[in-house]
Amino acid sequence: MKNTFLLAIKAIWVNKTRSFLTTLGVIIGVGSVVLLTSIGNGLSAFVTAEFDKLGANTVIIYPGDILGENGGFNQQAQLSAFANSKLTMSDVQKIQRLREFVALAVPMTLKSETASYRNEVETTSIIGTTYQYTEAQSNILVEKGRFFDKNEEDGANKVVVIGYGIADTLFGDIDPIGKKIKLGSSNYRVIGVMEESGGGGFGGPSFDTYVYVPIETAFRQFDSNTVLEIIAKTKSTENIPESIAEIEKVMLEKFKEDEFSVIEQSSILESIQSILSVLTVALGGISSISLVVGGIGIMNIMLVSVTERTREIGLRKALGATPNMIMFQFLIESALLSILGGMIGIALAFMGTWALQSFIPAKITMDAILLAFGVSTAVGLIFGVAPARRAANLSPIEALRYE
Amino acid sequence: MLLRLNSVSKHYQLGDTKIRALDDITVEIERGEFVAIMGPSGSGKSTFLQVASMLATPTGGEIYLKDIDVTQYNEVERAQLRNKEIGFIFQQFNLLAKTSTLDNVRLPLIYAGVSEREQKRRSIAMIERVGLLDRINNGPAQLSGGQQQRVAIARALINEPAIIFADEPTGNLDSKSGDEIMKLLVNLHKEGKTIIMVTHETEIADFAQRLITFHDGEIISDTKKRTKKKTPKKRKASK
Repeated sequence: MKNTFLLAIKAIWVNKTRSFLTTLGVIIGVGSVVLLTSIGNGLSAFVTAEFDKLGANTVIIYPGDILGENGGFNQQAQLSAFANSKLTMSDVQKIQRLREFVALAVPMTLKSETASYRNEVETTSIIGTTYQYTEAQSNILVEKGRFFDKNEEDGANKVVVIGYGIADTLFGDIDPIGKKIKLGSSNYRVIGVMEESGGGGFGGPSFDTYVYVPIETAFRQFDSNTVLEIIAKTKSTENIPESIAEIEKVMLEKFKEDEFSVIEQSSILESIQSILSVLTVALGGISSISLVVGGIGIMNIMLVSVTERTREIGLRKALGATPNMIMFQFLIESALLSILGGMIGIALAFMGTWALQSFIPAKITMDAILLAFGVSTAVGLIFGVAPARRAANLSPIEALRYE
Repeated sequence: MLLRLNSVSKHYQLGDTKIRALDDITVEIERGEFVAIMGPSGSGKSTFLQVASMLATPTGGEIYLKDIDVTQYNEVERAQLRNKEIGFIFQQFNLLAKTSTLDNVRLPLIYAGVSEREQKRRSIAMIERVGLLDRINNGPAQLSGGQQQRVAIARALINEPAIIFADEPTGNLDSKSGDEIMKLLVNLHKEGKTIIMVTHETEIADFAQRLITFHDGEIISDTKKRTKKKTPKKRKASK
């Protein structure tokens, strides 16, 4: 047994260049499978972390039945639901009163409007909300100045906190704090600038183009008292299901079942993760085709090797090697070749992951390594059978006579 | 009786013609004999060697080794039989390339399932016997033809086989190395080993004490010499 392994290692070592070229297929196959799954896993972990920042215990109450039949969002339904929203501040207060479950309930209303400062004009979305908004959306922070407070909210003061992008377009290098801007036709005093949040994430609008005003002010400006959505923070992550049930109970006192939706952040997370895992599996599957090609390469070179070593095989048989012993010898050799390729592939995937880390979050999991290792061993064994059988079935006389 | 072939035939079908490589051969070889097999090429002497050494199966007849009918053996049993009872010496030496003297000599012991330690002990003793202890770690490429054949002889002897089959053992050697190899074989014979050797050189055949001549797949003569055996030195002197 030990001898067979040494023999196989020696045979591989004697033809170093050829062995390396042979394993290249497996190296590329294993490398790409592991790398792609590591990118998939990394993205999934990244998304989870981003959602955790938002707060895993966030529940959002939307008007209308915006969940599609399969659990996904129905965008069409969402748009019309917003237009026909019947949510009001009294609903926010009712949810706020569920103190046992809900830590915080923050309403949001929204309208597109032009924002202007002197000659600079920019389209923006006015978000009307309460002073607790930054508590509910913990990923959104004030960079300069401050968010509005309870007094300004109660007094429906015309103060505004502007997004980073709006500040940049309207003011450029000028410090916006204390300046007056026009939202539509009304004047507002800028009291804060939000931190840059970058792109709008998954295709949505960027937070940078929003401006935030107290909700009472917004109601007056919009001439409407409807709330578009309510963001609720539950007391803990564990009681989310009970909290949702309680919120639904309160909502059902006033609304019909299809007039509102209570969505938990984690259900969005789940659907994103399921998309990512399907993608990962699909990409891994495509790259595993190269593993098969690699296996064929190994089979090819093992057949050449059997032909080259015909005399050796004949001699071994003459000296007492049984067909099974010869078969085993060649099987071990092809399996070792493949495993070697697998290990190099895993090493390359590690390097690739490390190199990619600065661009995409990537994470190599033990599962991926074990899978790659198992698959490469299997490839070596499966594609080694044909050459090994040929070797085992050689007649010793023919083999010894072979020039 | 050590080896008995009872009306053994080996027929091939080559296209339309049937080739009778061996035709109804009956021969007995006793323990301790040194037999030379001669005959022109195509006479069947090589086929006889292959069949008698269990490398090939006959198409007819029976072969008895130590009174056991080995023609009934399957491939695995035949491999084991070759491993234990047969030693091979080839014209081409057939050593494994890029493999040391030690590893070449112990090859049959690996297939016999002998322990690593025992493999080394016995191989070293055998290499010493053929006088190559100083070349124990050298590969065939670093050995002369005569030395390579001595490694092959050590390999043939390592499992203490019942019969040694030698196929033109000096065919690839110069006369000096050839003489050395023949001296070794003669000594083995003196120690009581059974040797069956195929050759086409009369001078080489003269070392044996029995000469079987083949022609067209049949034995045409089988003579035991009564004369005193030549020694390699005498042969060289007579040249």
